[in-house]
Amino acid sequence: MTNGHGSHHVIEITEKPPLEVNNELFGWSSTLGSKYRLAIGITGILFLLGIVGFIMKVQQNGFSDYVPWAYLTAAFGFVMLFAMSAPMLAIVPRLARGHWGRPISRIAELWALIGILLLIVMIPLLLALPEADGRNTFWFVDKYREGWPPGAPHVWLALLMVGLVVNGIALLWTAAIPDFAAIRDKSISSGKSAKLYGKLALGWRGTKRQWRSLRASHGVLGALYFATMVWSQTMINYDFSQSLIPGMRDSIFPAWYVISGLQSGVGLVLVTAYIARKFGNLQDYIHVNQFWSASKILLALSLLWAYFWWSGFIVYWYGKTETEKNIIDLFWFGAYKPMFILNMLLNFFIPLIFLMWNRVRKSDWGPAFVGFIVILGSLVNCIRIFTAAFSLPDRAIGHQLHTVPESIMKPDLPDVLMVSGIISGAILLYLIAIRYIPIISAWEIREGMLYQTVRYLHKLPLKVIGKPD
Amino acid sequence: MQQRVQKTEREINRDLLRPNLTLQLRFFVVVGVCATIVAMAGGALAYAIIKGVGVYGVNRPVMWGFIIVNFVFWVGISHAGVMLSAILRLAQAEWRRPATRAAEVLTMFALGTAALHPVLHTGRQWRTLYWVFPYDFGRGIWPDIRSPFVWDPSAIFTYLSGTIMFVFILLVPDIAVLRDRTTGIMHKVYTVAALGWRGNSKQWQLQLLAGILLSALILPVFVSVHSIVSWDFAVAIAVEGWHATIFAPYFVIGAVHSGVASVITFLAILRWVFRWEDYIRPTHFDALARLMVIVATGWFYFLVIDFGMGFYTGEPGEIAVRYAQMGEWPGNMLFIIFITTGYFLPIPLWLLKNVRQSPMLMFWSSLFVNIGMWLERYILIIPSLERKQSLTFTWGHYAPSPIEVMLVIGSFALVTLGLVTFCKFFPIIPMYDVKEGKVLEQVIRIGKINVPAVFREE
Amino acid sequence: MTNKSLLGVFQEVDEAVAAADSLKEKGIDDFEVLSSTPYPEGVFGEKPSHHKLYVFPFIGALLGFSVAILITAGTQMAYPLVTGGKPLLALPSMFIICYEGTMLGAILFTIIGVVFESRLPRLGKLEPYDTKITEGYIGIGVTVPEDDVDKISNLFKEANATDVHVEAT
Repeated sequence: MTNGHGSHHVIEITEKPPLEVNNELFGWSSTLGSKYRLAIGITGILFLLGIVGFIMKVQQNGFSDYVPWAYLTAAFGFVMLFAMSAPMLAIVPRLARGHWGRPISRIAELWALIGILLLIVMIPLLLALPEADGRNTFWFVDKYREGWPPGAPHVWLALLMVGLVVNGIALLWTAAIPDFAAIRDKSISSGKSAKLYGKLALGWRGTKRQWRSLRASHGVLGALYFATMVWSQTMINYDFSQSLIPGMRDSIFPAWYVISGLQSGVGLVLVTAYIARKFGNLQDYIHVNQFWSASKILLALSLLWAYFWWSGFIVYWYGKTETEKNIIDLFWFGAYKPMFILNMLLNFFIPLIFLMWNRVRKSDWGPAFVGFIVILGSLVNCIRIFTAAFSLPDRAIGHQLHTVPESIMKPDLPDVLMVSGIISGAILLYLIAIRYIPIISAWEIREGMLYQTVRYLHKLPLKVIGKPD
Repeated sequence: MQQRVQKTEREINRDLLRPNLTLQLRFFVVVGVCATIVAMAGGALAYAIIKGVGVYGVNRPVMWGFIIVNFVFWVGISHAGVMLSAILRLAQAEWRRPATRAAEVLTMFALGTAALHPVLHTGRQWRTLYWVFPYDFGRGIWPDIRSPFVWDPSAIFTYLSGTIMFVFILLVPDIAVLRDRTTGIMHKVYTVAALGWRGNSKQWQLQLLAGILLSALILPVFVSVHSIVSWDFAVAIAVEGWHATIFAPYFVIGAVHSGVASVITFLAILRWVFRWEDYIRPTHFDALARLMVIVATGWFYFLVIDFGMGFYTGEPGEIAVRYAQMGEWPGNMLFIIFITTGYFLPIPLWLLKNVRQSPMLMFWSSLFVNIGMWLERYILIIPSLERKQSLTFTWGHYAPSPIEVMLVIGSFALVTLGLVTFCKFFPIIPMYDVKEGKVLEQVIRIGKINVPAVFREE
Repeated sequence: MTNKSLLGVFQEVDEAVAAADSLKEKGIDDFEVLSSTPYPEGVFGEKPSHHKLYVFPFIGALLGFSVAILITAGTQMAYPLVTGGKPLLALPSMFIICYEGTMLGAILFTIIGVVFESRLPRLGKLEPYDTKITEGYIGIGVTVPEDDVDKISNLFKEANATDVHVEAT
């Protein structure tokens, strides 16, 4: 890393021989020590306990009623929000040709692997989800054509999720092909793992044509992933939340949910990048610039979160129909008021107060701290909206909401185990993945070094950033 | 290879000040034509005031017609300025440089014109403006702050004043150039307007900081303005199809869609009229088109959700509105034109690099977008009012009167007049921004190629 | 002893930088750089400028919020009239207008701050100044005792200044 001392600032860029970059990044996972093993141990135990909790729940309640599965749904929604939104922080800088995204793109993409866990968790949720008949739903069932499209919502939700997960893994894989090829050629590991990397590299040789295809695939897969991610989260929100509330007709609710996902996804990447930089000794690659750039996006998303919430609230407050008043009570100012206030603090006020200061944005701890706060807020958010939706006494049939519960739905022991289990499972999967897939994209770092340098503009050292066509 | 401005500062001054320092016949022709149309619209307004609002086409149940559609349209156009200027300034996008002031000035005149519309709509304006100003105090009432019709003027006033101040303060360095290049009365005017600008480091630091600070401050205002306009419709429960929570971001992103399209139109005209091929380059249209693809796709998502929610509850009143919008004449024809021109024609075109980099094709496609977006506002407002409630005997039909048509045409002429007049007296491309771009230009050599680069302050 | 302001006008940036270097060698590091292009601060080796611009938006926001509260709450309490079933002090409605008032105050005071901190407006004769600045020339301005005027003038000329202006302060 070169530090140029200007009149008032330090310039961080990565300037190393390409071979050194490869050696450091490909050999990084072998430097993971006791803290890594401890993390694997803790998350592994919690994950196993989560499975125990699930078995207890099945024996207790079965799948005939969806209400007991509220907390698992909340946890599913939470993990889906942050894990499946995180890859956006790899896609957006690439599409915008921003060099700042290079060190964190793989960190972001790796979270797409959590989709595998989500697909498994989704099975009991779909088993418990009631049919769409008799209630408001985005699917054309009952009202216009009977049972159209066939299998709605279960089959189509499952297909959407499968599509999303496959897309995410494809994105991760294609973006990692040049690194897999480099590992294959380097033969850091011998025998099986070298062969595995050889298979994963798909015969990559680095020809011009292959690079062109790789970039094209990033664009296509990235755009597709964004569309699929937005649409899946929209439908999860409809089918597991809004559709279960009689009379609820809130067009911005799913969009707000997507925004909260993007917010927690950015937060997650910031937290992961901070841990990798601080505890993984990756300061030479992950600079303050990455936190500065991503924190601006996080600030914008936090403002959007509040704006989208307010857009929904003001229309309901002004309308004052019976259903609207009850929904305001249900989600915001009734039994769930403390959780809502906590949400406002974690997802809006704290991010705003911290990130409005440039000094905080231009640090690594500041954005990472806010990222963590936002993730916490997202968990509270999901618990609030899903348990509230699952807790209605008239079981989601009908088109008017007449009564709301007097108290929040409290979790039992299996719920606590399942929630901690699924979150730990996600972290465990990530930790295992970084053992085998380089956490920083070496080829993107090497490419970035071509386009960044430090030069003097007369008396002032400044970063120079190349803008290729 | 990206094109760059290969000119000295003197040449940049000469090129960009040409409209300001030379008298051109076409300026007078355009001003004459626009002023005539505005005068005709003024005459139509006078007729409406004398005869009453019965001369408008509005009648129960469609009490909001062309004038309100046009109001929403122009508020939408006004969102271009902040989108391009503020967001791209904050993102340090180099390609913003020639486009920012054009976008900001378009905002100014579009918003000023939009603000006239609710006033035109009410008929005897001097009797109705106490909805905003408490001058009719004999009744002992203040404006009702609970009404979105009071939120509207507060938001529009804030946005308009903010934009005017934003444009002016960032114009000061360029006015200083005009001060130094003119004589006589214009020199005196520019001297006062330049406020004594000398261009020392502190003044420049503050200019750049002002750009960033004001961008950050005006962005939330820009979001709030069209949200509040949307709440004119959304908070009402009486009209089927309007009471939707998604209206605010849907309107805002639609506004950005139409606003950025109108900036593209404006830039293409500027490039052609003033022969500014060195300053407004294909690469700028390319970048704008890419931005438009993202914005348009976001807008389309909100559109699908909004229309989809109409079928979500399956209520007969709402279905009747959707049918009027999409299923029966003339709504079906207008809907097809709207969705084609607003999305399905331009977006696939803009995926092609050749189209994106062609100023002429970008000009025509951006015009189509605005035709579509005007129709979108029409489809949103008129059929909903025609089928206002589920009682079919209350249903009606709207046809615009020639007076309303004249007022709408007059609004386009008024905005054009404002833009042309501004271009005559002030540089529409920020000269110091272009010069700054030249200072920060660099090249990185990789093997045999030179990659365009830029100094970046962090 | 009276002071005089000198302005050296240079066609090339490098010449201006060289002149600034020479001034610093002579122990003069408080000089002014005039240009028609915003160069990044420090390009000529000048001292960083200090300002309190950030205070202005906060003051403006507070004032704007206060005025908005007066208008919304004060007017409704002065002449209470219930409309649309909404409470007299309808917080969501008040919030919208207070938000606009706050932003307007912040924007207005930011503009005032920029003008004030830039030491504008200066409607009298601009001293020292050269209209060639807006043609791309760079001005290096310095205030020195009258006895040093010739020395600094020569310094500028040695650095290839096209013009040297001397004005009384």
